[in-house]
Amino acid sequence: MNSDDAWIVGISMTRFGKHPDKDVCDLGAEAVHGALSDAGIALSEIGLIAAGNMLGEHNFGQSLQKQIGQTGVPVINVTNACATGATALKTAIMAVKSGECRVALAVGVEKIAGAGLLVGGQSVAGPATWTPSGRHGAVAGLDGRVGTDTMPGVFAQVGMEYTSRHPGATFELFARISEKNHAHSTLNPLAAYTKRFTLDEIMNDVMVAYPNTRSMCSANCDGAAAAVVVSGATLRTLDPDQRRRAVKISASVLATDPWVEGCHALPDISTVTRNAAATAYEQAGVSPSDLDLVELHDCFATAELVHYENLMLCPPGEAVPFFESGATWRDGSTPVNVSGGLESKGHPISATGIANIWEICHHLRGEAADRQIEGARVGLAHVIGLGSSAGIHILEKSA
Amino acid sequence: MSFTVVHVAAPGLEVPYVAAVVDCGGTWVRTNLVDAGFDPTQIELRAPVRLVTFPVGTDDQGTTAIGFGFAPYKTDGVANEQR
Repeated sequence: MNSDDAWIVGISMTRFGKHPDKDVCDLGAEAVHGALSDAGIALSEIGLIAAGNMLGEHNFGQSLQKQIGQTGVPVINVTNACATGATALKTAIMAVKSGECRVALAVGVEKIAGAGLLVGGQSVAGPATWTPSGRHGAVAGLDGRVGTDTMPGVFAQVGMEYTSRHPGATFELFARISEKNHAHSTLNPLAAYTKRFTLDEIMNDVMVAYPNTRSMCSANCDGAAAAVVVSGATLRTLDPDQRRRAVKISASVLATDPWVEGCHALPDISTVTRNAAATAYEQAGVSPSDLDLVELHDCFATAELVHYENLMLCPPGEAVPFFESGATWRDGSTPVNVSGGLESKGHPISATGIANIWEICHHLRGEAADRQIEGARVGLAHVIGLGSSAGIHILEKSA
Repeated sequence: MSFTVVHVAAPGLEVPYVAAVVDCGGTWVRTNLVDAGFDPTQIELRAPVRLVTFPVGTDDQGTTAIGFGFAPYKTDGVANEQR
């Protein structure tokens, strides 16, 4: 417990799914109250709030304060695409590590149940007469005319680019990854979907963007998650029971795209994830083989496969045999997305990067009930926000 | 390099369509693949393609907008581009 350590002492997530009777502040308040209660810490002790919400009104954090209590502390509103939750958490970690405050709160909320396509979903019907506009004098948008803007399409191409180098990555193999995550979610009462699908059902589901069918896409849903973070110095002042359940944040890394030759005709989610992972393993002093479980950003089944390599869970070029070995099922050597992942637990954007931390903490504390990974001591949580940002946290069980 | 067959898209866009990333001598280009059909099992990764233009649509004045795409390169000729 060095003074510059950071620890999670309380964490909570709402059930993911449809919450038509709750707004973002209701969901955020539920997660915050849950995290404070879990921590045994009062709102009055929180010295800073990092609040994430992508698709709602501006200054979500201040709106949330009007529901949970206006204590006058700094609020930092963050948006970072699908890495928003991880960015809020990192902001809270930086606050306690820097000595800015003793206790910080991170919260992420989204309401997108039934939202459909989040990018490339707006009608392309333009004016009745073509009118050149913009710096290129274009008469129409690019989406669908010069490639695709849709997320299922972009990530389908990420997977197919891998397939072009590794033909073993077939439609069926990608579907089997989705089969795994849907099977895992049957043990997670907070998941948006808890139904097991057969491989046939997944492969014959509505095709969204080949090879991603509907059940291979992340589930748009409502949800919130929140975490209470303290410094090592603060942890020493807490009760033994709070210290026993505290989870050590061994690495907190946020990376963006480095300069590369050429342009990102296809977003490069691999280099940024690999760079973040290398930094995180070095920061934590752990190796991929030390991980007892991983929650990675399976926004689409195609993405999960490439992240096996990006997170160095297997050697380069061996993601297909790694998956086929059963390694990433919950009884395998490196369980991946035992929560059900984004495909089945759901993906309320700004909540995702804290909810995956909640899942890891649950296992490290030995509180994951039916889906407990026995003896879990080290876990990794990963998200990626297109643009791009990769967020990686490595967590360790309290000694 | 890569492709996908998009079946769900914005209102007003005709589906399915094939989106692709084409390797033009080391430079990746985002594009649509045209004249290749919509059956993913019949679209070959890394097969040669050629640059083509195609009509994007016609407005109420009768003006047709032209876009670019890539089509399968079916002869025995040499091509640098690969999808």
